[in-house]
Amino acid sequence: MIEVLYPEVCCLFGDKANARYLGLCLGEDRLATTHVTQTPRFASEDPHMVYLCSMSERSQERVIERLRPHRERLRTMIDDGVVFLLTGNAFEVFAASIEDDQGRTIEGLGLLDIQVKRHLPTRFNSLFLGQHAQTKIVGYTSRFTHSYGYDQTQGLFSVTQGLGMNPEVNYEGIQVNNLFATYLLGPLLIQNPLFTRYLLGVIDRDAPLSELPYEAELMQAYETRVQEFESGIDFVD
Amino acid sequence: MRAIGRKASTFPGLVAIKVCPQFLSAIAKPPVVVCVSGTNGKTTTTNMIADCLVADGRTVVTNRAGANINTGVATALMKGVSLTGKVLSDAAVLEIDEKYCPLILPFVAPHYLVVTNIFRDSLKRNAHPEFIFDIINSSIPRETTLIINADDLGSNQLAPDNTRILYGIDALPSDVETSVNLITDHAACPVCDTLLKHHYLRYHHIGRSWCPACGFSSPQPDSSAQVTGSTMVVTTQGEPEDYPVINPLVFNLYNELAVICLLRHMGIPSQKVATLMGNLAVTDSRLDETTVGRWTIIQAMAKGQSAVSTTRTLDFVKDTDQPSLVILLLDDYYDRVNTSEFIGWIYDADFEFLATDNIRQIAALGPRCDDYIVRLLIAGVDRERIFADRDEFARLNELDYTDVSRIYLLYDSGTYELAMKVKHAVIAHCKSVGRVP
Repeated sequence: MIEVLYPEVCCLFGDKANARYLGLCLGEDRLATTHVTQTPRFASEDPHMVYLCSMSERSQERVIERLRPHRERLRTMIDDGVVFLLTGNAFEVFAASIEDDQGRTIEGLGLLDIQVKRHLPTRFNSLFLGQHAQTKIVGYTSRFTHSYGYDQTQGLFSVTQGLGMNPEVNYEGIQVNNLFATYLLGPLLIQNPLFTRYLLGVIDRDAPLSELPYEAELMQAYETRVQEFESGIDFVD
Repeated sequence: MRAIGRKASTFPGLVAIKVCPQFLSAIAKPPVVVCVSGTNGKTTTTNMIADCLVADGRTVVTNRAGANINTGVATALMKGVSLTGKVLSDAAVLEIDEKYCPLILPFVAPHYLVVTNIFRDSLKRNAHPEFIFDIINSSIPRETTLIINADDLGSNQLAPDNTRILYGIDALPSDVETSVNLITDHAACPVCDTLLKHHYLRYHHIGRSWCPACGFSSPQPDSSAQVTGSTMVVTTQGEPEDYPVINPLVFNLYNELAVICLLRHMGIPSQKVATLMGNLAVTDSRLDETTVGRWTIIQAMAKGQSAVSTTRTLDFVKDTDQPSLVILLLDDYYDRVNTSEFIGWIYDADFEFLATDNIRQIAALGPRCDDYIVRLLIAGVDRERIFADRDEFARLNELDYTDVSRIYLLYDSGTYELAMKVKHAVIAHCKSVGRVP
């Protein structure tokens, strides 16, 4: 079961397409949606994966408070290797703290040892080209925040070009066991079929998918984008 | 201005603000100042208001050219004063870009602010609706009267302590109770997070919503419209007034209703407002039809990088009752030059609407065509119906014109010139194969 948390508020920037594509890959019947006022399925069941998408700043605070009662369960799941995919600013919910532009500190779930600094209304927009192991990753980030303070060996992607977790570092995202957290947003899995294949292999170790849905077309779009990103175009507005 | 290579719509204002940062506060203003902002419809609404006031015999300054940032507003206001600072106009009608509200509204202090709606829009420019709401909300002077859409949860909570005129449209035959769109910006109750229910929905979150848990609901409109055919009956404090429907598309009904509410609140009698509205020659500038032999070529603008605006256009196309070819020219004009467009928005837009029998072929043309192939496949469009090419012109003759009678050309506002070239190439081909003189 793939639990998609709070899609009514965590629904920005096309991120939901990732859940939809996972449904195409694994079967719609494996997707379970949990709304904000519902108790998460993971509290009493063992999902193969939990997915959380981009959200607004006020929604981040709502989500933190909704998940806070389940903090220890989430920690256990991370330690046990349950797959988490957190896209856009979703992973900031798992951070130790978020300092907003007014100097207010919002206590996060404290599951990732990072501090987030908001710079509203400054928006950081950047294309992204990086690596996950030997796989090239292409994507896009658009956000008000940077993140600081965790061990760079836990970076999810190395940065070839574009913005990482903050302007000073050359890694993007964070990986703790099978928790994959990234500032990249939008249809990340659709744009990165090789990474998606890797992720699906982690989710279903015993029954890897033989071929992705529309794999040839996804690969064509991916290769076009990699070539484009390596051609010297502007990455930052 | 053109002679020296400057934009006459913004350059004087740019200089004025450079010389005097407080210029927008300092300049003398007309007796009535109306500002119009919001995600969609602000240009149409601004033009309708200005046209009505001019037809009512008033002298109006406006930034009709779309110069809707602080320098454009300054330029427009400058047109309404003499060199000695004497006010020459009766009213200013100013379109305001949402993000520029903090640089304009506190200084201009409009008597009226019309906010058409707030939706998610360009990711890079506008981030998300909550961000835009906060920008507008924190910029509204206390004394400004708001004209806002009760059926839009994105904007109907603005400035609750101000005088607010809320307008709404009663149930329409086309309404639904459950969203048919991929995205909605307000699915959860803003008070208690429970999933909202809806008395009716029009598109995305536009409609009347209520919370089954805490009792929250869309606010009651002060002026509610019943639309029947070509007539809109607007009832305020129990008094019905008849107005002609200028354009029956739902978002245009809302624009018209906003204008009616504003004009009535300004004290213009209802009969006069009805006459003014009836004389407006409002056409949908986003649509244009050309007939070539047996083909009707329909160019339809979609605001690129805006999922909601594009979905409105896709919704229009899906209702085609003729075998149709759809040409997509939606790549962002600026991003295609030096960078690469973020295409997350196309997964928020309802391309699923194109997976219909009457749409025989969809041609995705431009640099992002590979992304559109994937998007259309995920939308449920058969692979054999999808045509794609990075070059907009190279293979236009290979499109399947034989079995279709309508050709839809969907383009972004930034790619208008490119779209017109494609349109002319399509027309030339149709004339050639159809032996049309």
